Amino acid sequence: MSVGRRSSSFYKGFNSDNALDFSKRSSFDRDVMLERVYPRRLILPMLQHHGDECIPNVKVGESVTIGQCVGAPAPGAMAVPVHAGISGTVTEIRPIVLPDGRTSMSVFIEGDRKRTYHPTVRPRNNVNVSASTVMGIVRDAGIVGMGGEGIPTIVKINRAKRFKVKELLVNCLQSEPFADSDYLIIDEYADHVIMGAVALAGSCGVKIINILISKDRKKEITALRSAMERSFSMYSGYAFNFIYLKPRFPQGYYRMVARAVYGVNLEEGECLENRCRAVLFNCSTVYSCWNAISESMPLVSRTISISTEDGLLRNVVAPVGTPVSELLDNVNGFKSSSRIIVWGNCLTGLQIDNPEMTPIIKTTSGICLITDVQDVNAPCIGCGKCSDVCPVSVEPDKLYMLINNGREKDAERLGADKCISCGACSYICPSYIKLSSVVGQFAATKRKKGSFPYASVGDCEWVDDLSLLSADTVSSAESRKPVSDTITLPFEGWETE
Amino acid sequence: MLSRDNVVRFTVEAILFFILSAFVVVGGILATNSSEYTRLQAGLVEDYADVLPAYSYEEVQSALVEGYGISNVYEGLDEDGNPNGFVVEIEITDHQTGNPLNLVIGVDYNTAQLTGIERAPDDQGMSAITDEDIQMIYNQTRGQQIPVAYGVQRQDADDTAEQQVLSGLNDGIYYAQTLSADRSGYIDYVEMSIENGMITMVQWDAFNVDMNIKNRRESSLDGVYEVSGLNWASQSYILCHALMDVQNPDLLAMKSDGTTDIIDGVSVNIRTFVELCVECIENSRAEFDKDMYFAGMREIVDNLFEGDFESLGVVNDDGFIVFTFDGYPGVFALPDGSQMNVRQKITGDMSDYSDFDSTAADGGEQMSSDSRGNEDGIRTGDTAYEADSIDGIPMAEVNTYIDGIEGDIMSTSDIVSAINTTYRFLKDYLNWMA
Amino acid sequence: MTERVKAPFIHTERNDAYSAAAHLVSIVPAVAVGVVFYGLRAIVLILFCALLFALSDDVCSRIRHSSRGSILNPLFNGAVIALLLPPDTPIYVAASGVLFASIVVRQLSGGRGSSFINAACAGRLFIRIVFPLNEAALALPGEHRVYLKSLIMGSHSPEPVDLSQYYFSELLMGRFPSFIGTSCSVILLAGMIYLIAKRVLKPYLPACYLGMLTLLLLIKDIYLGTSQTGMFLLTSGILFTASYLLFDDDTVKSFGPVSVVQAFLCAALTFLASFRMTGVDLLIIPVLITGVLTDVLDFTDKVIKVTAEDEADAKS
Repeated sequence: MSVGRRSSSFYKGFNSDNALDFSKRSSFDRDVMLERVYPRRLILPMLQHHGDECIPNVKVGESVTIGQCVGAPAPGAMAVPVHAGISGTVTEIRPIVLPDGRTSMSVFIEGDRKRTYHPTVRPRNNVNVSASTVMGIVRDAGIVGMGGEGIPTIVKINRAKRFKVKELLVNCLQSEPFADSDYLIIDEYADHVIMGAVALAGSCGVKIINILISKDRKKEITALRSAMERSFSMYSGYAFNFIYLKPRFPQGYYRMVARAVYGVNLEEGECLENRCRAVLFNCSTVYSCWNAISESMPLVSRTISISTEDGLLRNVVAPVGTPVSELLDNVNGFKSSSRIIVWGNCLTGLQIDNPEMTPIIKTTSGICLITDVQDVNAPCIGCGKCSDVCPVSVEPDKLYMLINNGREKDAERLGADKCISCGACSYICPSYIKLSSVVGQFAATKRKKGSFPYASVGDCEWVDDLSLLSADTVSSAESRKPVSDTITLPFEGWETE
Repeated sequence: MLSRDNVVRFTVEAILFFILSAFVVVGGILATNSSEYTRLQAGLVEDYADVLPAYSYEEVQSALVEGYGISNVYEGLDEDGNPNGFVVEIEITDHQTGNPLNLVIGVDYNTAQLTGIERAPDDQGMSAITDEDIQMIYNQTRGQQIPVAYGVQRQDADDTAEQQVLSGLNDGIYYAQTLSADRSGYIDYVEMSIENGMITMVQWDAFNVDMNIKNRRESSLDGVYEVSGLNWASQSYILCHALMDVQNPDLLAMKSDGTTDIIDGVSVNIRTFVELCVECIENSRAEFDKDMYFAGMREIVDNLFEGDFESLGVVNDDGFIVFTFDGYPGVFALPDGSQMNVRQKITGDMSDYSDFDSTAADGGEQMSSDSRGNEDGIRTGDTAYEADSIDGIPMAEVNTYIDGIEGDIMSTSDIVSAINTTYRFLKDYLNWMA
Repeated sequence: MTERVKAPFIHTERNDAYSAAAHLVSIVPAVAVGVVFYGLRAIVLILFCALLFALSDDVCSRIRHSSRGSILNPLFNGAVIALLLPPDTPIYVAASGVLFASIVVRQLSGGRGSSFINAACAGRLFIRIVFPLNEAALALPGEHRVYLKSLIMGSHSPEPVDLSQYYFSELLMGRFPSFIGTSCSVILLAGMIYLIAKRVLKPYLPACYLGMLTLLLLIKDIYLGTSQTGMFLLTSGILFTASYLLFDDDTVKSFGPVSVVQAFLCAALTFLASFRMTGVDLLIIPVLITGVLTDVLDFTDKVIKVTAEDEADAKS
């Protein structure tokens, strides 16, 4: 049985000091288990992950069903398929610009309100599948890192195998402000999380599964333990551990996890896999994996936290591709008209200009509605709180001053390129200076491209009775080309060529 | 940058905090009042118990305290809350060094007896007056009623080398004043009583041409008129007493600069005093008493102004003719063209004074502007003389007479002044002898 | 289309104005004590110093065309200067200290956040040096509450008192001659607790400072056979330093381990200073030295770091 051990988290970062605890659910959510949104239409970008754009494999006017693949990866591309979350008709296929600045071909589907499922979407009789089958399912279900990373899960599994990891980490820490969609998943689908973790561990070739969670989340811990007990017979040979971390933002980021769990500061070009021999998956990703394995359901929907800065919070399950405007209109209590809509969390998210044409994608964990944007022209008071709170131990106040004064070399010397743009410094700044905008943007320009360990999509096996793809399979090795998969946080379109 | 909610919240918190703090502080004050009282009483007992034993001491809050130049006054109470006496802390100036001396004086409430006198605990010790001096005075005054007067070393009546009784003196009260005011506007006068051919009373004071200004004696006691050494009133007092001792102004050993070295405590210029005494003596010989002097003065002034004397406003409340002859010729022309000074006109022919060697008879000589005058009322031997006052206290009120510190009249005067100031304060405060 | 705003979209509620407001509210008890003990002259001094500091800050900011931040901060700093003054301080003396703190220390160093020493402490030290007020004999609390002449003419020459005669309750309630706002330990603790409750002050910081200082004093007492620790803690005004001076943004730059080191350092300096200094010197000079040392060490650390990197770059 699992053993819980406490790990000292990094002391930096911050827990919300607002009156509202970031991770508490509203009372509404306690009464309503899950609110589901059934949009009238979907906008499915072909690029919802970190990598290459998929190619639409449907035509305008074509009918689609829930779970049907509408976008397939190009041969050798670092991509995973995109599936429809509603049944209906394809009305358009054209590019859209995502809030992060990426332009992506997108499939527009007008729903028929019938909720017709693809024939392949059905419960699997035998879930005791092989590791390679798991990999195939994960790949073909189009599962990506749902915590915001967006890396195709199959890529991470391959990387994990390449570096012969020994542990699998399930990230149950959701420290973003006003977001607790992951906790909802754990509460409602703890079994899926446990089994998904087992499946992924098997595919990665590890036997140790560490669940990273806050000690305060007693309900979730209990749910997980109960799920472990229920599922014990199905995962003998695997060891579960609870690692308790403080709910600090940005605790879930892989560098923070490396420091907190392994005491390791990852250098540029290093990752958990090659340095710590561990692979990290978000619990929503793990859940989706098991959903795909047990129900043959590809990644067509996800849980999203919708919140306002004054404390209103809803968790909804919505199909991927739901336009933000339709999401908000369908959820009780939110009026989008007079507020700024933030795509993502309110610390690192992006302002949406056109909610009707902006969909939620696989990596969108939250939508925030902000009314009062405080913009104050106040000087830096030299309090040093930004330095205190910075998880990568740079001094944002000094870097900000250096960068603004054109002393970029000095800023780089002081470690400006380590900034991970978490926004903590800007949040905590008493003068409301947008430190992370300046420093993060500078850091993004300085990060080396192509220096991250190579990973590819290939090397998976197909499972005969399950085909989540109606497109080409992976072609020969020659057609694979290395693709840079440098990890950057895809916020605010800072990735520059 | 504060949201409206926060502004309201902070404002409310501030108000509540202020009210709560005020309550806490006021409550704390009330709760610690007894501790403070105990501590203060312990301190007061430590400071004053030697001077006036009491169970507790309550500070006397009165405007009179500052008016008398007293630092603090405490009323000593017994266990039942009945008054024991008073403790007066007073700062005086040691005239030998000019440094301050803080004394604590205890007086019994019912008997007005001195219960103790010592140096105050916070005295800096800069004074030349020692604890032994203070103790000596206390030993002489212990259990005695205040106020106190002190005596000057008396001369042996048989010691002719130091006393020469003048001849030819007629009994009566004789008076002389300077014709010109000094630069402070004072007109000195000497009043002398002669009985049985001996000088029995001498008074030296000065009134001011500005009748709003007090006499020099009072002014010196008030601290307005200052001289080096003892206050002028004390010096006048000593000088007058010395004259009565020696009975001859010549024996005061005035030097050419007008000072004398043989009288302890007298450092002022005594020339005017001597001259006026000489004039009084001569007036005595000429039986030109005080009334006649005033009449003569009045005639002079009336002649000068050809007007009503009173309407000129030159008579002060005490009846003195306040007129200075500054600006007027020191002499008046006689019909024969010769000159005669005013005094001669007052006192008669010059030839009457030919056997008296006195510089005061020189015509036209301006009086010293350094003249000082008046201390009075000294009792020597067993003879009771007409008393006046000491330290502003009428001699009739003085209950205790001491010898003082041998050879140190200044210290004696200083300490006695402190005691008498205490008496004056208590008299006013308690309406003693009202 | 709404104006484009960059992340983050939310900010901490505990901004500069919030922090300054919390500090202002926290000194309200000390102000109340000053008013109850010393009456009109205390409230006049406090209000005057606070408003003058704010006015000076505002005028200088306008002249320099720079933003000044919340107006509440200079109000607080001005009030702190006043609370450190003897009750009989003339108004022109207080004004000189405030203007020195505002103009010389704060503005000439570059404005808010650029000075390396606590402006209030520096202003008070200026008064200490230029106008050596009679700080050995301070006015007794509870007397002369309506006495205003001291605002023009200065002290009315009170007597020094022996604090060893005072009872514990009197010392605790601050009923002894002291500066306007530094005497009442109960009230100062309340202010400190308020700041901690508002999460403007981390609890471990004053705890480290006071704990270290108490420990050193106890060691000294044991070594010398005295028992002065309690008296010192109650009468020296150390609680005022712990609450309002030491953890000012200008002095302690962060709340991490470095601030703990700063707290210990200041405690050690205060202990050493107690051998030679008394009164306000003991409160402000260690704080000023701590602020200076912090910046010097920080600067030195950066120089070393950058130099090492340069050398590494050169080698590679």
